[in-house]
Amino acid sequence: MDKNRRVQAIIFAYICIGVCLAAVTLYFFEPGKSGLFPSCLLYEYSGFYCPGCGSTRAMSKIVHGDVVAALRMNILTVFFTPFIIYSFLLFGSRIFLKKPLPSYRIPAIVIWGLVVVIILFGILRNLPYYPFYFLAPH
Amino acid sequence: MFCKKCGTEINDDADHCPNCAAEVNAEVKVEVEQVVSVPTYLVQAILVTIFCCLPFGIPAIVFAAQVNSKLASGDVEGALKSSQNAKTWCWVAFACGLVILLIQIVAIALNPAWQQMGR
Repeated sequence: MDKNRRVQAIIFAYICIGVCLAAVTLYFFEPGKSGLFPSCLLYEYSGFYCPGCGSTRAMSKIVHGDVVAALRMNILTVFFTPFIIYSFLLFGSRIFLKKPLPSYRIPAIVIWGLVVVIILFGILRNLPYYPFYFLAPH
Repeated sequence: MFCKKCGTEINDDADHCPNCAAEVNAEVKVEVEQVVSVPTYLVQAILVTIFCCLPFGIPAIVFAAQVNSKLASGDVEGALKSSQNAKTWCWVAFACGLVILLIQIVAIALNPAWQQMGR
C-alpha cells in the first residue's frame, strides 16, 4: 500500500468512526428536544427556514428507521442520503478493492438543476400556503 | 473512448482498435485518465450546504457543475481550476459552520437558560 493510499485509508477510518459516533448520539439524544444540539442561528434570529433546516432532525429520524418522519423534516436531505452513502462506498472501494465500484460523472446541467432546486426549496418551504408548508420541518 | 482513426467506440484499456486495428494513442489514454480523476467535490458541497446551514455551499455546487461542463467540452485545465475553486468553497463553508457551532457551544456553556429560549 503506497503512502497516498494509506493516508486515504486513515481518512476513511476517521469518517467511519465519526459517522458511527454521530449515529449513536442522534439515536439517544433527539435534536430539538434534548437541548444538546443548538438550533440554527439563522432560524433563531430571523425565523426563516434555510434549505438545510431540519436536516439534523431528519438524520435522527433515519437512524431511528422512520423514513416518513425524516421526509417531513427535510425532504432534500433524505433524497441526497443514498447518493452520499454511495459516494462514500465508492471512496472506500477505491482504497480497498482491486476492482472499485462503478464511478459516474453527473452532467453539468443536472448539477445546475440541483442548485435551482436547493434555492427554490429554501424559498418555498417558508411560504405559508398549501402545499408548500409541508416542506417546512414539521 | 473512441478510436481516433475510424471513430469506433473502444474499451478504455484497449491498446488497439478492434475495428481498424489502429494503435490507441498513449496521449489520449493519459488524457482520459486525467479526465476521470478531476474531482467535483459535489458530495462535500452538498454536505456543507445541508449541514452548515450557510449560503457558501451554493458556489461550491456551482463550481462542481463547471468542472463537469468544462470536462464535457474538453477543457481539462479549466476543469482543474474549477475543481480547485469548488474545494476552496467547501472548506470556507465548513469553516464558517464550525465557527458558528463553536460560538453556539460557548453561548450555551456560559448561559444555560439560553437553550430554553426560542426553539
